Parts: sequence; structure tokens; C-alpha cells
Amino acid sequence: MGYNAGSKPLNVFPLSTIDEGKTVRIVKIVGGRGLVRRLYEIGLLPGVEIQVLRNSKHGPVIIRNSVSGTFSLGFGVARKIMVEVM
Amino acid sequence: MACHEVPSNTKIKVKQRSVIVGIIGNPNVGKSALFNKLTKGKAWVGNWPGVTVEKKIGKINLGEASVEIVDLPGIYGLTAHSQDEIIARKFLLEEKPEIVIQVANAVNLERNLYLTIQLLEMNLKLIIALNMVDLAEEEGVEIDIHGLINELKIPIIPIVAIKGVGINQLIETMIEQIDKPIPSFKLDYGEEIEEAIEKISKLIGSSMRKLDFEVDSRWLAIRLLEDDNDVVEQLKSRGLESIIRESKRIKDELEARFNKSVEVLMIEKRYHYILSLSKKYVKRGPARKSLTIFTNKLDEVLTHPIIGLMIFVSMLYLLFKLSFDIVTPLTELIEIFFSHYVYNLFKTSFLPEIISSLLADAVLNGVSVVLIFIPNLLFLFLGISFLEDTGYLARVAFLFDKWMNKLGLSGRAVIPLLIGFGCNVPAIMSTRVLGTDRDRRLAVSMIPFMSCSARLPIYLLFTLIFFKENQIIVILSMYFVGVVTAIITAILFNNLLFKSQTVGYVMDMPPYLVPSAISVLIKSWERVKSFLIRAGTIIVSLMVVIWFLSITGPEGYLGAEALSNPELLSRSWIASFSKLLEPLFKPFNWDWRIIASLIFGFIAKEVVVSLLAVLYSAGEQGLSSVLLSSFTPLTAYSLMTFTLLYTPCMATVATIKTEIGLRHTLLIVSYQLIIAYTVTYAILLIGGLII
Repeated sequence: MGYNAGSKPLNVFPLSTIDEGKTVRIVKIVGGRGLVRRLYEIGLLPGVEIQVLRNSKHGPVIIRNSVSGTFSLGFGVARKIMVEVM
Repeated sequence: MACHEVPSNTKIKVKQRSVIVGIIGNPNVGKSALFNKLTKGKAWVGNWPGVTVEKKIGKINLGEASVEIVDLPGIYGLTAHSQDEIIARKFLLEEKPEIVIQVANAVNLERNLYLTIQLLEMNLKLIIALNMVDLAEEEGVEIDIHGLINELKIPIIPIVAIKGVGINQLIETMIEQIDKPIPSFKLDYGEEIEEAIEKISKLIGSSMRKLDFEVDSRWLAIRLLEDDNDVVEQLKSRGLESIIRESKRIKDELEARFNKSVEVLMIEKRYHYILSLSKKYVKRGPARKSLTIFTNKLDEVLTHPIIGLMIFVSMLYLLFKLSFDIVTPLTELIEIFFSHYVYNLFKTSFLPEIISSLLADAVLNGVSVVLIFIPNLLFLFLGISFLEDTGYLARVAFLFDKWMNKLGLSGRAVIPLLIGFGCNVPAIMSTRVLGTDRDRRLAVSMIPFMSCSARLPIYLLFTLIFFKENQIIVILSMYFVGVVTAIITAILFNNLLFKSQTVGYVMDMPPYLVPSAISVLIKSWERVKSFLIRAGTIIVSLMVVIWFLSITGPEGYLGAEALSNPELLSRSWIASFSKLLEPLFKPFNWDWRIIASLIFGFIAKEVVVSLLAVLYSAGEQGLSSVLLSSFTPLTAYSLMTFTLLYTPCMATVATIKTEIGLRHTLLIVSYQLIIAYTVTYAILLIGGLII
């Protein structure tokens, strides 16, 4: 139904490693309950596509999608969001 | 885009009733703009009970009802995890607003609908103020408002808060809704979860009389399934552990079956529903004049690791230039007005000497010390509020996240730290955005080292006298010493006290907007006002104490002329106490008069200068010659450093105490005293070697 990442994805990486300009799909959030809820609440949940606008690879990232708008995520957060490159 | 028909004979049936309306919404959706438009800027700021988060209330009259409008903190959900969420929920549950207006951003409506669903589940009478419909149109976002109204069964009013569009229709809808019943809303969570909700809400229903608060049992059941700490605590305190135990059992059973957390399942269901609404009622076509594209373009520059930083530094320079250099004539005008015109008026009045001295030397001096800061603070806050409302500060947080992380903080901490340069009090108050207690404590420990504007007069006075040629460099060096000490403090506290890492941040990057002048003005004025009230009252009352301790001593009343007579003053209480401390400052070669000024500088740092003037019995013109004869550039510099570091002023200490507790406050103050003593000693030693 668009939410579940489906069967085992092949190229899954932490969001913190994705190049600027790439569009990725969230597969899983491997954080504590608080972080998972916070991200879900703003519409960043598995199955959702996001575009990486800025990422210096060792600092925060900026992402956007039409539902959530633009968000900046700290490095620690970006490391916990597992994404699949489209 | 008219979507709601207002009968022409709308009238409130009940006379003179008072109605509470809450305004809620995600951050950056224009909540404050709508609040200002509805209340026409007439609002007062208080605190939410038990916490120091600002509560803004405005009163308006709608027909025959007097309406109290309450601005709630910006939140994404109502799960009661952060302080803001707890405040919002408590308000909704306990104050039972007759109407709740949710301000939603039309550009990305879906994200706002999550909160909408949670509000509807709480059985509240909701009106959606769909804001920024003009921007949404430019973005190519088309919302079928009629469709959504039919689906959600609540009024949705398109508005452009900043321009005042749609406000009248919103007000008419409010009047019309007051006496209407609350439409029922039920999101289907799927068979299994629904069954669980049913079971738990039945349990709740049977012990409803034990609940002394009126609340929807379905909502309580949903909250229990989502492991809501606050709800669990509430039930526990009412002896309803059995319900908690049973709901936990049901929840565990479900989780075993789905192999997934029920909370996550439920959030997913809500998003399912939101996406189905989006599919039906939101169309995204090509943008006509896209703010998103403009924002992305601008972000490429402003969030660039090098160019972005350079732009930020220039912005900061401009901000300080504006709030300190340009307003100096204004500050001087206030000073002249008070210290010459009004002062003489009091002094030469027909009142008895002691009364006129009390009024002129104590009260008036205190008032002018406070008022002198209005121009600086106002312009500083104007600048900060302006940048905040454009959306730029969110980018600054992004820029500094990497660096702040090295200090154990998230990028958001850079904003409170910067506000600290203006005044430590609002800076400490603004650490609330940091969320976790750990981050707040750390940031609060650093802020007092940010050289606030109250310390500037001390630098100005001393540099004017002792460092005329290098004034700017010497003043900048003070800021530098402060920042370095703050960084060392962060590293120290991080390793010794906290040890844990900062929880990463998740921050909205709103599109760049031209802020509304009114909203910037109101916000800045509120901040200045809070300084005036918080610090002002303390400063004035303590000026009276200083005055009293100066004109009296161990031998009794010395006479009001003690203030202008150094010989008399040296027999005062202030002198006796400072002389007691003299041995401690022997290595610094500071006499009791400096110590006395510093003691009262704890009350408010700006007092140091006025007190030095009194203690060195120097009038307006005399201070520089008196200081030149008793200070060397090195002792002047060491005194400046000590004043910067030794302890935050009383208003700041009071704020720290209310924000993070007494223990940490005592820790910070004693830590600062030790640091100040050590650094000053080091400067005197090193300086003595060089000179």
C-alpha cells in the first residue's frame, strides 16, 4: 500500500551518506521511539520518497518532499534513517 | 474560494458569555500572524502554569460574547512528549476551549492534517484556518476545500493571515460555530486495532466516575494503546492501574500478532487516511511563481558551508552595527534627559533632602539605567525577530549544526547563544527550543559568557579612558574571551557532567518570506517589555538598597551627601563589607571601591559603571580623570574581564533558576566565580610580564 518497503531492498544506506540531489525512499528508521514518532509525525515514514537537497556527509542534511516540505535533520538523525536509492 | 455560507442573521444566543478560543498549529504556519490580526495586537503575555513558556492571550468581543483567544505553542502532534505538546494538550483537556482554530499551511497541507486528526479525535470543535492560500496557488497547489469540508465535517476557511484576507469570514464562522454541536469523527484503524480500542474504552467507561475529568473514552483508549506517558500517569494517580494493565496486555497481544509497534501502526493508519484525502482533494500542478524554487535557489547560497558562513558573519555585523552603533545618539538622548534634566528637577525640588536623594539618586538612577538599554535591545530584537520571521534563523541552525555538535549541542543552540549577546535573560528563555533537558543545561551554562549589552557600557567607559586608540579591538577581545570561555565550559561540562550525546534535531525549514512589520514589531516589543519588567524592577529596587547602604553605615545615618562625599562613603555599609573582602583581591591590587561596585554588579552588570562613578565620587565629567589617576590600562582590562566572566546578573540568575532549577544555578554561579578569578589573575600575571 505504498508504505511498506516490501521485500528485502538491495541498496539500503543511511541517509547521511546520500549525495546531494539524489531522490531516495525511506526504508526504515532505526532510532528510539521518540525519534521514530517525531519523524513519522512530520510525514517521514517508510515508503515515503525524499529528495536530498544538502548533505556535507559529516554534518546535518536538508531534505524535502511535497508532503512534509523542507526539513533539516541533524547528522545523528540522518544516520538513523535507512533509505533506498531510487 | 468561498466555502462557507454565513447566514445574515448570525447572532449569539446567550448574552454576555465568555468563550475561550485556542489557536493551534504546526510551527511556521502563521499562527502568530493570525493571532495578531484577530486580537489587533492587543494581547498580554503571561506564563503557562508551572512552566515558563510564554502564554499569549487576547480578548475580543464577538457579538455579545467576550472571547478570550489563546495562542498555543507550535507543535506537530499531541502525544505529550515535549513541553510544548504537554502545554497544548493540558490546555485542550483542562481549559476546554469552546472553539479550536487550527492554522494549517496550504502549501503542504498533508503535514498539517496529522495534527487535525489528533484534534478531531479529542472531540474538539475545530475550525481550520487554511493559511497562505495565495502561496499555495502560486505553487500550483489546488485544494478542493468543499470536498474536504464534506469529508471532515468541519469548517475550513481559506485565509492569508499576513494580509488579513479571510479574517472576517473566520470570525463569522467562529460566531456561528459557538452553539453548534461537535461533529463526530472516527478514523477507522482496522479491525484488530478497533477491537482493542473498543475493549479498552469499555473498561474506561465502566470506571468513568473515577475520572474527575471529562474526556472522550475512545480518545483515552487510543492514547493508552500509543503508550502515552501523561495519560498513564493521570490514570495511575486516580487508582486506575487495572485499566493500564489490561490495555498493556491487549497492546502486547496486538504487537505479537503484527510484529510491529501499535503506535507505529496507528500513525501509519493516520497517514494512510491523510494520503487518501490528499489524493482526492489536493492537486499539485506546475508552479506559476514558485516560492519553493526561489527558496531552494536561495538556500543553495545561504546554506553553503563557506559562502553561507560569510553571509552569516556579515549579517551578524550588520545586526550589531544597527543595534549598537546607529542607536547610540538615541541612547545618549535618554541619558542626557534623565541625568541632567530630570535629575536636577528632583534634586532642586522643595522635598526634604533624604526624599529627593532617594528619588534622584536611587529610583531615577535605576530607571535611567534600565531605560538606556531600550534602544539597543529594541533594535537587536527587531533584527533577530526579522531574521526569524524570514526563515533565515533555521538556516543558521543548519549551518552551525556541525560545529555545535562538537560542543555537544545541536545547531539550534546557536540562536539562544547569539541572543545572549543582546541579553542573557531572553537567551536563557529561548533555550526551550532545544527540547531535551541535557541540551538546555549545557546551553544555559554557556550563555552567561556571551557578553550581553549590559556589559558594553563598562567596556565603553574603560576603553574610552584607557584604550582610546584601540577601542574596537579591545572591546572585541572581550567578546572573544567570552566565547572562548563558553567553548571551554561546553567541553568541560560535556565530559564531566553530561557524558551523553545530544539527541539530533529535526527542524522545519520554512520557505523564505517577507515578514510582516507588525508581527516583527510586536514580537520585539514583547521581548523588550519582558526585559523591562523582569530586570527593571530588580534593578530599581536594588538601586534603592545600594543607596540605603551608602548613606548609612555602622555608625548610623551618614546623610544623603555621602553619595557625593568619598570620605563619608568610606564609612558606609558598602565600604565595610567590601573592605572585608579586600584581602581576597590583594593579588589584583583592587581596593574596596572596585569590590563594592562588583558586588552590586551582581545585581545588574550595568550598575558597575554608575557605582564606580558614585564611589569615586565623580560627577558626570569627573569619572575619567578620577579613574585615570587610580587605574592602569592593565587593571582596567582585568576589571573588564572580571566583569565579563564573574557571574551573570541577578535577573539572569533568577531566569536560570526558574528555567532549570536551583542546583544547576548554584553550580553555574560558583563555577563562573572561579573562572573569573583564575582568568583575571592570569591576565594580570601575563600582562605584568609584557608591560
